[in-house]
Amino acid sequence: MPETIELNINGIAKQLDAAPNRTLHDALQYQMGLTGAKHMCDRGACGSCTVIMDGRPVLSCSILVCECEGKAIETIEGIAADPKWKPLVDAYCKWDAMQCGYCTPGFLTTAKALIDRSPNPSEQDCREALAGNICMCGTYPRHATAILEAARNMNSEGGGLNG
Amino acid sequence: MKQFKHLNVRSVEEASEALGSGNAAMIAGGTDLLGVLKDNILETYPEAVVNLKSIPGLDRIREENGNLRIGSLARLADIAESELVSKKYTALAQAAKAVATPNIRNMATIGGNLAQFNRCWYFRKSENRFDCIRKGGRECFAETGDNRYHSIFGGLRIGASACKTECPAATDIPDYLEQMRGGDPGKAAQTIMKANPMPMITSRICAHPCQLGCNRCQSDESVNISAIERAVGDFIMEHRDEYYRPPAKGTAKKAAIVGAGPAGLSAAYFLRRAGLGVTVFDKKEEAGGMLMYAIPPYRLPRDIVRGFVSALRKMGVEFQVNKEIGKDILPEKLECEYDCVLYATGAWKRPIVGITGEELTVFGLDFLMDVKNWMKGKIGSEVLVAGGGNVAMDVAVTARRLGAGKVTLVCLESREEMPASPEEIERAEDEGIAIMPGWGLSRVLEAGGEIKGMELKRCVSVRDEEGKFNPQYDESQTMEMKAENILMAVGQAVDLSYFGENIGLQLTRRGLIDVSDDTKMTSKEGVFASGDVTTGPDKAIGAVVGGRKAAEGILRHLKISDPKAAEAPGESCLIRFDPEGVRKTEALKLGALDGDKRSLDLEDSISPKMDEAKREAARCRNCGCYCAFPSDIATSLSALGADIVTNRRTLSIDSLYGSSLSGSTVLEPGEIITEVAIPAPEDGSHSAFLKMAWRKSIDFPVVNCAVSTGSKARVCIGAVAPKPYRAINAEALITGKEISEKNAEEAGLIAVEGAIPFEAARYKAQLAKVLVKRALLAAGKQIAIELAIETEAK
Amino acid sequence: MADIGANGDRENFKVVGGQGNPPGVVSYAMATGLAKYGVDYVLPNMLHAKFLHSPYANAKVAGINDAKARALSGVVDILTWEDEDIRDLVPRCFDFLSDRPWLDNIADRSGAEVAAIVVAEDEETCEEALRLLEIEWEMLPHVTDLREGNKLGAPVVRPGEDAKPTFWNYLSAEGQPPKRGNTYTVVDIRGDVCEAFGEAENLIEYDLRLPPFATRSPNPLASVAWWEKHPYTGEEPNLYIEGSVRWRDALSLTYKMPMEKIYMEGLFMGGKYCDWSLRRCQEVTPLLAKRYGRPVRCADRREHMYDFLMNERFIQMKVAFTKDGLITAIDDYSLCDKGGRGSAPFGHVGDLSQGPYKTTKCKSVRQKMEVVDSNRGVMWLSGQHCPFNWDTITTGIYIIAEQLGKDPIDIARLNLHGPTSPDDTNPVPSFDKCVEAGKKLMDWNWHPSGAKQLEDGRMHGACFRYQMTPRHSMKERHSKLEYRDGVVHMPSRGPIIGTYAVEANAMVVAEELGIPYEDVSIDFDAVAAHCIYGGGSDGTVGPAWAMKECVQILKELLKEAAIDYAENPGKPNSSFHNVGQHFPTPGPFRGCGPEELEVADGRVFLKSEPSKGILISEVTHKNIVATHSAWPPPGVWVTGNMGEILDLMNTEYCEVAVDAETGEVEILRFGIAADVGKILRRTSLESQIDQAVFFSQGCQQFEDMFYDPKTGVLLNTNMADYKVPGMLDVPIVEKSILETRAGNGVYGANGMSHCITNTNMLIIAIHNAAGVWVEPPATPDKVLKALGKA
Repeated sequence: MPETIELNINGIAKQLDAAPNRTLHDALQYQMGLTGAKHMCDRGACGSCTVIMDGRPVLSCSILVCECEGKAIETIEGIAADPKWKPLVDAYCKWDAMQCGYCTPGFLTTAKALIDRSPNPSEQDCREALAGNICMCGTYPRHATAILEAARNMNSEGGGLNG
Repeated sequence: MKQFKHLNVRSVEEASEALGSGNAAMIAGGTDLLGVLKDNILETYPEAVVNLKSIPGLDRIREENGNLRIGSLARLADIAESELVSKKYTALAQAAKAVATPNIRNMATIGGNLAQFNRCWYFRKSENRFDCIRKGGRECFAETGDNRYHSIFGGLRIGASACKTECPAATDIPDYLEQMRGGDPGKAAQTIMKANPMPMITSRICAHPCQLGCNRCQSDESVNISAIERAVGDFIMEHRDEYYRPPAKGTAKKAAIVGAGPAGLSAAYFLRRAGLGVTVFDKKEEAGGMLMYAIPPYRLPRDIVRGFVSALRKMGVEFQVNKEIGKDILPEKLECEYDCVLYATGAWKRPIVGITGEELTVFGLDFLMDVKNWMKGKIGSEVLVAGGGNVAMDVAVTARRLGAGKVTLVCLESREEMPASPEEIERAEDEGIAIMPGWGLSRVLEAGGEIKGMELKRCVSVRDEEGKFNPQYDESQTMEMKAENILMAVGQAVDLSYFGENIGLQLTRRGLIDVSDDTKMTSKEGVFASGDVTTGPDKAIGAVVGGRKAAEGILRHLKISDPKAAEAPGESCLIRFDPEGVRKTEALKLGALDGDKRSLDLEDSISPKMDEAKREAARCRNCGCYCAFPSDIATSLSALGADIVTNRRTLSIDSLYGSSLSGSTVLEPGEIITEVAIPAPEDGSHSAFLKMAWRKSIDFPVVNCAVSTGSKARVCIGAVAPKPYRAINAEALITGKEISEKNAEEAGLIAVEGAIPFEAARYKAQLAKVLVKRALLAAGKQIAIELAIETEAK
Repeated sequence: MADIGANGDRENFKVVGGQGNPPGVVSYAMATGLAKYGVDYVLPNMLHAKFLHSPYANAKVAGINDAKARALSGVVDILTWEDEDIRDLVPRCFDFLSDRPWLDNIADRSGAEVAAIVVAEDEETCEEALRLLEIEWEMLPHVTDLREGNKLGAPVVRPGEDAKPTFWNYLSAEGQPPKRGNTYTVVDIRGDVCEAFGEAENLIEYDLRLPPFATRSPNPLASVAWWEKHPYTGEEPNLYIEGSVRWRDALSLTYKMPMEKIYMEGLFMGGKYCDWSLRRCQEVTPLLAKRYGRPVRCADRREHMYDFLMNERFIQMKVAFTKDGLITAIDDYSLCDKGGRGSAPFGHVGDLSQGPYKTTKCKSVRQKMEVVDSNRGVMWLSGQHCPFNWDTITTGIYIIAEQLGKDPIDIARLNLHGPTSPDDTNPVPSFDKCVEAGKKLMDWNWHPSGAKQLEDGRMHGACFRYQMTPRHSMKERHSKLEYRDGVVHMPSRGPIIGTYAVEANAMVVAEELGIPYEDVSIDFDAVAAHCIYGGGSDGTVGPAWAMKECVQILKELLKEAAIDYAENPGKPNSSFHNVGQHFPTPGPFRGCGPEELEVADGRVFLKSEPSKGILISEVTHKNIVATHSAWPPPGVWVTGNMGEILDLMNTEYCEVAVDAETGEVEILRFGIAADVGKILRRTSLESQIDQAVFFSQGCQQFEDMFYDPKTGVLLNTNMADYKVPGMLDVPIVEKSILETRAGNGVYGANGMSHCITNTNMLIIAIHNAAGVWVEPPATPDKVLKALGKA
């Protein structure tokens, strides 16, 4: 039977009926209208459904929503709404680190978590952090460029990430 | 995903209780389980999912008494990034970093990784499309399917193979076929003789239900198991002194066995082997019972029976023939003089069918026992045989070979229902015997006490809905068959008259001796019975099993243990098959005498040569699971000599993997991995892990390898077998040695010596070879770096 | 042979082809998750539908007992192929897909939609109901191995069917041999092949396998449909459908609904590369939504999305050449997968006429293709047809070069005919420029096979290939621009596939008017006529040519409007209706004729006195609409007469390192030296090149489809087992992009992403490294096998 749980999504508390077999991804799509985390492989192999949970990028297709109570969850919608991360979104758009755009939120969310952890990533750091995100359009060579530029811009703007 | 209940538990005990109480699955990181549930590939979908993440404290990584202890819920990302792990337990850190993808490593736990389901695509195909052996099905689809990513070191037996299950003696058929493929008929002989001491006999006469169970039947022809058994049986006969040795140590206990048929002889063997004094009584001139007297020599040459009996005699079994119990010796006396008595007197009595003129007919068994008397043209030109079993076939063929012009066999059963084995029916037809299934006996046609024939009536069904023998006839449909002799082979009855008027044993409703199924003990303490006397007429192999069970019951009763029987079946080793051999679709056919050379005394068929038998054994798929267990972590832990701690016990990483259905580990319901304990590496010992996959991320390993050096050197290869594979010989080579290009290369070479890969997976052996070498060199290089730092410090 | 329209010879570009182009119009939506794809739509009160998918490779459904499924709580309905509405549904997407009923009881591949659709309150209930269906399957023998399927005595998987494979009018069925078993044969002969082979100085024979690879949709294909009455008029309901991909016109035919009553507002269709068809899940939702009066969603699972982007093909080549390396005769035999029923012919017979041979001086060519019915899958609009054909000649040139000890670039140059016709013996300027740039890019230093070892012990190999730019951007002919309140609007209909087509068109508008790109307003409008075809960069330049012509019309209208406004200026009155309306100051054009005016640099001015003029945004207060509805001239969209004319060429280079112990192949770098005529949107072009390399790498290195031989079931239908390359696998792609303006598209451009894709460059480079031929994809197991180590 569904149980009411409280989720913390993008800093906002939300009450939700969580059926035991519902994944976090399904709950985001069907119950919260957040469709930024995308359904691609649905088996944890492609990274398109990535969200950040307690600071770590994780796969929402492979998490039961009923196990998310008390966790801080960030989705692409939260990242997009935070002006602090505008440089990252801008860099992605500027460098065309996308084509059809379907996997892009998953990439961007993973990239955000990377910059959170290491504000000055190397190109190799970027490639390794995104090694589990699959892009069917083959935009891979463009991501590191975007992330490195974003990190640079964020560090120079008003004292960097902590500013 | 289908519905399930979800339980957050607070402690391991609570989790264990929740898991043990029913059909439940545990969830840790969830990365594997949820996929498995979404694809609905388990035999039974769990009713509940028990969340282990709510148990506090299970995710710690710490050093304790110099050992590394990692809680089962520690996440792979944390393990990979731990300085402690990277520095001292390098292979584990490298393996943790090689798993799947970064975002999965943020969720996946070490315990979950060890207990993951295998990645075989047949196993994983959604909605259980391939009901494979891991799921309780009968086949490993990879064996003949696309197996490019599968095991190269063999499979795991999952449950009992169908051939073994179907064998009344539960002979370990897959094991002895594997031993035959390995070129060791001696071992095969030992395996068979654990269950059956007379394969040279059973191979010739058994209806071999094992072959009906053979999974090859689903695609082509069963492995000709009986032919292989026969080669092994002949081998045993050639080396009989070796296989029927007197026991090394005798006991003071004595057993008497009444009846020297298959049940009695079987029991005699097992009891003598355990050291008992065994005396076998038989009222006939020669030991062997039905084997000697009822089965025609063209099927079972008498000398084979004699040879077996003489081997038993050499083993120390005493035979008292021409001794009739109840007449020469009273049962009471036996029971008094011996520590226990086994009655295995068989079923020899003529049953009464109850048709008019029955007294004019001849009892088939008498006919077979008395064949010599029929030699001189007595058989007549037209003979009718009644019965549908193997005895009836024997009677008919014998009659034919005695010179009967026309032999007709009638039986109640339809063609498909006939109890005789297909080979025997085929033999009968080959010899020109007309078979008329679906007819019952109505009355004997006679004239002046002389047989003229038999009136038959149509039989419409043999058994009732419950399967009981209850023939129904259409009396309106009759026909007359002309015959000079009518031979009745419609069953035999049990004769217990030797007990006198007061049997003193409980009988069944059918008038058979009632025994415990398990021990074969009768209602009287110390008195046992087995074989047809307890079951009614049955297959010889049934009597052999009965004899064995009685021997086991007697030994248990006398509190004697059989050192041979106690021999461990060997640790759960990987099973093999011959990837080339299994491609052969046609079964071995036994050679046979030409029709015109066949007689009553010469054996019709010719034993296969040993190499023919081996080739046939190569057709056995050795049913098991041939997946490649895909854990990177398990390989590294094996190389580091880790122990797995559960809520119930501590076991080595190598013994964690076995043959449980669906899952990969040997853990029992309710058993939970709580911790991984890794001994600190000795000084100067280093470890390394390498992984080969097509893609640099996302993929499961095609082959991985972890090594540790030093005096307890270990080499483990992963994804090459259903469990991590320890290359013991490579370990021996490098133990205590400094790693050089030369010994690393050599270690690689011998590490894969035992591989017998599928054609499509042969490349894995090459990869394993190279990975062993490179991992050793990588570990060796770390030592060099360490030394350099040390020297510099000085 | 440059752009033959207006301003095709324009110089001094300000917008088009610039460095650091502005972001795509919908990039922000895609990056932030705002963009919704079909599978994302969730509506209140929505029902879910799912198809029964076949567990068998070839089977018939003889009967269905749905009693148990119907009894399941939450199940709304179960429709079978015998349902009247289902029977009446006619697939209208492409004519060659309509040779069978839309849904029937025949499943001719594992995973095929067959026989039944379950409708329920949620997806899980749909799945459970499907499990509860008791289905009587009649199993039939299957063909999943083409070579087996082509043999005499192979089970015939579509007995009685004799539809000949044709490719519209390129290759007709006339004169072709009749079908035998599973196999159709198509033959195309030019010149006297027998004689040419008879006179051969040298002869080589070689085999190739073109591996199949799966369609490229990251988003599970899905659609949601609902019907809604017009809120005011109460008219017959309009159809709303999301995620139906491209073909609203097909839906219009299927559902007999006028286009203007079909609304699809979602812009995003995900990556559908060379796969333009509709899936059944996208076609059925309107029917179900109408039937149950509720929105209905139908989505495929990833497992069901391993359709074919490219058919498998086995090729046997025989090539004659002179001692100098000039090819004199070609015999090209191939065995090609026809796929399941309803598969498109693009991947097989459609290729024959587009082969690479017409670019060579060789005039004796025999092409024979045997096309085999199979149960492997559906080859939708399996595309990539032209480029992959090139592997035959690329490989031949390499082998000839190896035999003669020459550089394959020289062999290629020797064999190319001249730019204007097959009889032209002049060099091809575009080719020479590409080669020059490519050699520089790659430090080209050719070595024979097995001759170079890298410092780390691995073997080094390289490969070269050339291709001409094929084009088929024939679709779009309607363009429209609106001038409104001083702003130029470019209305365009979705859905869109990525960030290149709409933007490039808007850039052309800005260029022509001399205004900043940002000043062109791209209006996405669900019922606009203009829609970018979007077949890669190739599909961009055709519509862009038409758009450029449309701008000329707008310019003329602007001139007329400027004069009209100067003569009859708008005048604000006191009425509050005019509050906020801008009335520009009229320009000095009173009494002028349009021929005296010029539109450029964002202004309308007097030709004679350029300083006298006004900004475009100040031309008039009226609205102006310019439309252009005509096919671009054939030169824009027909490839140089299939190779007889060589205008734009491109060259590709690949360098690999082969580890002979593990069989691992690393692509050290990939080089593209290509003449695109003119760059339109630079990052889009670069992305398209990266993508083409990525596709090539995938099918040469990792991707393949594996079938269980006994059951014919496709085994690797998840993203762990079907191996698309990841971030750490892709090589560096070096680019040298040339602009000779020699193309027929806008400003002499032509699209070129298609022509870079290939299946055999890696294979050739491996041969150049290790001296062995490996069948693609060159996974380490196959490399080891070729090296005799497995």
